[in-house]
Amino acid sequence: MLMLAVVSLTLIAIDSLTPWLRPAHVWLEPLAQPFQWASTLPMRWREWNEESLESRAAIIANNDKLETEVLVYKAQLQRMAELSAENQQLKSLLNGAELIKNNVIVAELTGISPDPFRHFITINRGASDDIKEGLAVIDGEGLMGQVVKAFENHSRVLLITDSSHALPVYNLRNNVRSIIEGTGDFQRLRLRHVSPTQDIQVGDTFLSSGLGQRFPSGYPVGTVSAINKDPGQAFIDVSISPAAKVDRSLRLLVVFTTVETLDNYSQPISSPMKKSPGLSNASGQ
Amino acid sequence: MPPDNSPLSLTAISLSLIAAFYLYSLPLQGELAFWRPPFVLLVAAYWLLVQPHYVGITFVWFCGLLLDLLYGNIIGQNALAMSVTAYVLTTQGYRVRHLSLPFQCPAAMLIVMLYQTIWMSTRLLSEDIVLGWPIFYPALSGALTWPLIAGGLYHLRRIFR
Repeated sequence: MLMLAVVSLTLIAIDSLTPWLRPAHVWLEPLAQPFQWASTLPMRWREWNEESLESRAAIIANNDKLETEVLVYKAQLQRMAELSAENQQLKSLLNGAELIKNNVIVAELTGISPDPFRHFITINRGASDDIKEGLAVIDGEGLMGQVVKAFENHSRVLLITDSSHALPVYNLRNNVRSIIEGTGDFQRLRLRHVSPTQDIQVGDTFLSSGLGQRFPSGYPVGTVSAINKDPGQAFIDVSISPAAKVDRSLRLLVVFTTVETLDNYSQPISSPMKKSPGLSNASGQ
Repeated sequence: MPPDNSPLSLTAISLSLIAAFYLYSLPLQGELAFWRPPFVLLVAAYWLLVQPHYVGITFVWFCGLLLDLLYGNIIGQNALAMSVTAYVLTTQGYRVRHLSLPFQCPAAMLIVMLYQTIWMSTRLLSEDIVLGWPIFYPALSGALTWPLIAGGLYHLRRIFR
């Protein structure tokens, strides 16, 4: 008994302090897959039910609705092409030399962590699809989380609602920067260190700011659902409801951020700055 | 009743443990997830009491290790918590075995409370989890589901004899 306790304590120490036991996690991960897959069966069954037990009329109505939606999105996309071209032009005028382009890959949810204290999910894309640690995962509504471990054919994603997760954001209304952290509750995020004088209202939308170099900027994270001002506290308590359906989405997107150099623009600005730092101001004007 | 030594009881043990692992990994909506009873521990505890020549503390330790490996916890946390709980259970085995079902439920609650306490303490070393009463919800739900688990395993044992 004592022996087993000592062995397990040693294992805990080794696994939490060193990366030596990582291979064991990687080898045994395939063993967990059937259980992980089985754990999503109720969700799949519900989805299958909704899909296959609907009446013909409902399906036709749904199809009509989707077609209209596609049309609306296509129309918006036309504007988008024009806007991004304009954006590119403006950026080149501002001497910005690169354009951030986000490619996505569709992934499916294959497992949910049974541990209520940690918000992990498993998706069916892994290192073989170029998934790396740190990539952002979104659903149709907003930011969901980030890849924390990429295995060969699947990867583990830490959700933004996990109590150990935080990400830099900005307020869409007035560009005030802040940090959102998870609370361990799927329906609630929390803003960190908001001073009572800061301009913030219920209904404000927060987007990822990209400042942490981890998440791409501009994805919706959540909207302010409640503000609690306690005069005795130095900071106010701001609750955010996440934009993404963090605990319900079955289909997700993994975002690859690639930085593209603007090829129609040659960049002489960065070189003089490197050569003579003293002249950087002059060259900027 | 003579102890049943047939290899069939090994089948029963492994089948019930696979079912326990499956039940453990079922997703539960939001708050409900805190109420999930530790099925693997309860099933292992049952076999520890009724089949002590097959299931010992080492067996329970390996179950815990598997649980850690399967769900990406830090290796050894569940193994430690489950083996210490199993040890306490074996020292008290002669008492627990003779309890009637209504008295087994509070015993199951104490067992799960002990397990949760050890598990959460080891987790606190390396993770920042939100402490609170939810830690002991599984003890309550474990006590409530214990009659079902014990009844189910009893029938399983009778089928594989």
